[in-house]
Amino acid sequence: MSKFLKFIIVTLFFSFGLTAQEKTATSLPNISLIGNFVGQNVDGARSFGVEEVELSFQHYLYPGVKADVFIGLGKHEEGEEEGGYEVSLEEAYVTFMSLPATLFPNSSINLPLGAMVGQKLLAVGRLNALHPEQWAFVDRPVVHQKFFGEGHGLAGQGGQLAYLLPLPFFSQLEVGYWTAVSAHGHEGGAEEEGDDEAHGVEHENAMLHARLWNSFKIGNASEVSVGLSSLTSNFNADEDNDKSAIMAFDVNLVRELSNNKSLDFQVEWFQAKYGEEGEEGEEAAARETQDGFVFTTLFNFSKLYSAGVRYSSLGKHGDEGEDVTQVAYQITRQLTETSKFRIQHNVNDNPNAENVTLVQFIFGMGPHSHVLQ
Amino acid sequence: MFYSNLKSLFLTFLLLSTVVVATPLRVVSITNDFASIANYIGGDRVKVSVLVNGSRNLHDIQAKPSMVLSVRDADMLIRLGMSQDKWIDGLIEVARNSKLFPNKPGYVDPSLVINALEVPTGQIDGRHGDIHIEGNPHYWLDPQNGLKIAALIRDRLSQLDPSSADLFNTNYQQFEKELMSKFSTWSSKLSPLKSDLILSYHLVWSYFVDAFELNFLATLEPVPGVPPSVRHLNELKGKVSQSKSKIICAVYYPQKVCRESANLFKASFSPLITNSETEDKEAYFKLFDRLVVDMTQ
Repeated sequence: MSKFLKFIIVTLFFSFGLTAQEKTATSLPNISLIGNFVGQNVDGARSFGVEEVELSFQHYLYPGVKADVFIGLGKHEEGEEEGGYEVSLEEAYVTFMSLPATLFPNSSINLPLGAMVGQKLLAVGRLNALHPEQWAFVDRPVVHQKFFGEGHGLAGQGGQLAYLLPLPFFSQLEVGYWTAVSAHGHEGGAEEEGDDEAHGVEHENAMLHARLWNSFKIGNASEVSVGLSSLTSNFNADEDNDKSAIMAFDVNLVRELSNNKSLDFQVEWFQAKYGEEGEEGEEAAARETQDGFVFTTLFNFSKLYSAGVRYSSLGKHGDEGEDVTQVAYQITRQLTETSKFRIQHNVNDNPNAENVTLVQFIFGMGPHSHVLQ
Repeated sequence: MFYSNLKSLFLTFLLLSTVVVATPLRVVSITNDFASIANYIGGDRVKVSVLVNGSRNLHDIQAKPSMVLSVRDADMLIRLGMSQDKWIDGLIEVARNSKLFPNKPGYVDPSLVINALEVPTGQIDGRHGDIHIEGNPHYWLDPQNGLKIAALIRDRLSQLDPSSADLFNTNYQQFEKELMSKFSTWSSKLSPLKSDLILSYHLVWSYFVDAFELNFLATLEPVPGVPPSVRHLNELKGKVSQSKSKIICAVYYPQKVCRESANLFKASFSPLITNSETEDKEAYFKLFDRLVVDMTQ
């Protein structure tokens, strides 16, 4: 960790500790920490450790303008420093909830047009934009690892506009222009052995992203959300074959059964179109498509217990690679609102991937919050 | 003469147009209780909708995109505050309605005008359970706080619709008169319980027992948010063994645990709603009517 970063963190925590003793006003941001411990058992080989610690700083800068910074201390996955930890900037963005209200405060214009600038996990489908403590499973589906890279997913640096459409149902349109941060997707995790698989989607240079998110209430107890997303990477390239494109369609149905019981069905379908790694320009072969599908069911039994099943399916990239499917089962026990135990078992229908059992303890300290997603 | 009549007709038309096109203020309330008070104070000058109906643990609410619509179109939002309803911040952020940004007249947080109970001091952490750092958030359960909430709503409505300020004030005075009269009735009906030891599952009723001067002993939870343990229940049993006691339990907490504890303590048991069941102007009074009946059964 750089000395500068260490200094900032120690200073903030020290200051926070002092002011926390009394009920006096403070101008410090909301500071939170999320810890994610994960253990796994792959064919008898066991490991357990700190997967990641995430620090967050959240604060209003101005009425209707908020800053969120998330810094992760996570494991090095490969290379000479494998097993050690590295600091990474996960997200750092400023949200302008209403651009007209911020830029023209004396105007009576009340247009629900917002903006977000900085570094952000992109909302392609539902899952990619979420942080690990928001995931319903310990890991991400194979589809997301292939299309959006390892770690937490695909992030970009840039900005987006978001507009709430004037319709009698919830409908939000986001359009963004980003530069790729997490560039390369390929199958990851303990299951990866041989490298006969096709490389995943390569996200580089400029990315153009759009998402339309609609939601409809069904009676008093149910709500269904439908999303359509599009992402084009390297979209300034002269040759179409140098570009990568992902289309995503997602549906989420939530039904409240009683006070603490609910049922949640989620479907994400992706189609990626991309070329082979290393081939660029006029020599690049035509892009091929690859489909991915994730279906998740979650059942909240009570305030303390929930369980879920996730089915993921990843097709070939053109004629390359193998069809891959995975079924994951999980049970979660909440300890507090921000802490939980989870046990999960992944069954892989893939000759290159072993079945794996995962255990997780994830905990939070402080007032960490995320925008409605 | 003709032009004079035309001018009068034109001015009359203008005046009527103002009356006809004036639309009620759209108020969104987190619960039926604040909605009821807003309906009483605002009368026909407000149109009130509710985000969460009935008795729910507001901390556990999952914000839905459909809730954004009410917030998007609102002139006023009444939240609970005290970090109990953080999901409201997500709604405000996505709705992008600048009238409802914090510190605007349309952003109403009644928790800032009441005297909060059980505000912790010093370092608090998970050892103390699920402590609310800003104090106990169930403040609407004290009728005196109902009055403060009503006064705040009156003031904010008057800022948003100054031409109706007199109406809002008249309605507030009527609300105050009716509430104080009913408060005497409720106090009188609850007075036989003053000799009982009151226990509850969770610290929901602090404002209620404080308002009606009831004798609150303890919660079944050893610390907030941690389920009752056998050891803790046995300790409580020892404390209530020589006294008449009652266990009150908000409907969204485990009723079976409360009922079995009542059997163990030889105490009476009353499951209680915590929020008004509708949003009409009388609903806030009816909440206490119902609580008094359920407590004294």
